[in-house]
Amino acid sequence: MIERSIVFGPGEGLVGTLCLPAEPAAGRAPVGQILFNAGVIHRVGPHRFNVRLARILARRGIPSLRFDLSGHGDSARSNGRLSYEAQAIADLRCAMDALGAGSEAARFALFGYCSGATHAYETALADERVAAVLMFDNFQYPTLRTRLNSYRARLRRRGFAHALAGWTSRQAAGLPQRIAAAWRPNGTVAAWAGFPPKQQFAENAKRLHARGVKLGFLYSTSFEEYYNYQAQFADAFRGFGLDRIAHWEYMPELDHNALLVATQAKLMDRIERFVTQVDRDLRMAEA
Amino acid sequence: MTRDPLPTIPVRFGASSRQLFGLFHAATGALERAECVVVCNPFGHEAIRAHRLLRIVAERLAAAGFPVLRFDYYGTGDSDGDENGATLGQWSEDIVKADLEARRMSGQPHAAWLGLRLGATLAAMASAGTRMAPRRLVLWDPVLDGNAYLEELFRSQRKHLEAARVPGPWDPGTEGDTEALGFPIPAALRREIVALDAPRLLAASRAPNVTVLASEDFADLALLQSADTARRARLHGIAARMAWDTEEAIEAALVPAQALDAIVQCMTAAS
Repeated sequence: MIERSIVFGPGEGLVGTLCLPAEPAAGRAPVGQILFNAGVIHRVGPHRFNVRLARILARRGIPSLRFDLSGHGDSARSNGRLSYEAQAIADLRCAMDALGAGSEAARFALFGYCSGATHAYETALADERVAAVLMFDNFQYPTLRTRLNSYRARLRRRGFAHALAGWTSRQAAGLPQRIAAAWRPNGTVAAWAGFPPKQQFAENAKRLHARGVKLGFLYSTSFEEYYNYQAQFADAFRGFGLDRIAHWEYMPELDHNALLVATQAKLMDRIERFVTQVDRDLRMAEA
Repeated sequence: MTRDPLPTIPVRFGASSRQLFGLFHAATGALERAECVVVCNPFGHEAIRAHRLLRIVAERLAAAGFPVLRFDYYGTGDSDGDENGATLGQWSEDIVKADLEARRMSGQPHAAWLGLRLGATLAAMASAGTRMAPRRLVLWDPVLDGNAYLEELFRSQRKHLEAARVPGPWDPGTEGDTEALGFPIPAALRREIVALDAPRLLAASRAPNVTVLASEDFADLALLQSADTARRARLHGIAARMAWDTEEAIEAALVPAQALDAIVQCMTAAS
């Protein structure tokens, strides 16, 4: 494994580290993995997750670039001409250029941790070089069963009176959105207002699938109110066919911060398996 | 899209089998200082949490005329190695290597070391054991009682696991490999931290000028004041509570303005 720290992008303002296999795969360039910030955490990731993952992937022959988005970590602040989301997409495209130049990878897998999943997903829609997107703890679309599970769990933990008070206050807070959603055809309230409506999300996901992009969704147990059972993704998207074209997994042993080293290893294992499968599929498609 | 050129240069230095990552901030201010600054990171989640703060400190010091090198110890951050090979002894040697690199890149014959939490303790350790001691040692909330530091990490770990509703009791045991707030603590490192005699290290520092910056909630203040180090080190208070073990510590960056101002003022005033 070889690691090289680089600056790239406009004005060489972005800082990242290339992690390359010691012996590059013969023949076609493999898929390259892009890793970046989880929220405000710099490019090494929570508990150095991105560094360890990058080295595991390098041992499997997959090169990667872990980097800081503009203004995050060690990267320069943006000039403010683009919106936050547009800047993140521009930065991710620069990262693909840099990893492509450093490793000859022509297709890329993006891993988005928490809010980073939105950047990864939007970049996949904008750039045809993206071969796969794996998203952790984002795009939760609750079902009726999710709500019931959540109420039951709260009731068990906090007792009836507290649970009822909490439910009443949440219902009151979310009422305007639910009324607005009821007036939209096929409207569905997502876990957060920042998520696209379910139908729009599903249609975009199907567009990505039609383009050959592999989609993966991993969910921890930390957002119990929004995602709390294994088949939720299938239930939420059954009417849209998304459950058959995406990989999804609920990991009840995992919290959002992957605080325990053992659970970090499980999350890393899922990502490694997903990315190596994407790499194998690309090789077979080209063979 | 154009941006101002980045006044920072990422570097990898040290032996080829043991490369350390560093970020060199060239001095950009009109004022020329007589020393460069080496920043010594804290350990584990505190390093994640302090990353933003230390970047801004480095940028402000660079703007004030100091060339600055931030770097990651072996097995941490972007440097080579994994956490399982970590020892305090190796990390203190890494500080000496970073010092040489900072002096080489900046051309400055003198250095000041700025350490935070366990990084401050490591800086004291390194400065006691090297002939190339820094001219100034500035230590922010140094870990002086290793055992209490570990106990605090373990308490915080239990609290976060409980908040995250992670099932099952968690027990760090009394010895052997363990972990805290997402980072492994191998048995050798754990033994070294428990055995730390930081007040003695501080007293033994070869740096001619030692300053301790103490936040309002600096836990080891009494230990500092009662030890020989009180005669060696000048103490400056920082009017901010750092609360290293708060719930937000896991996934939040922290840049308290008072702390930032106090550090920059301390570094620039005495150079």
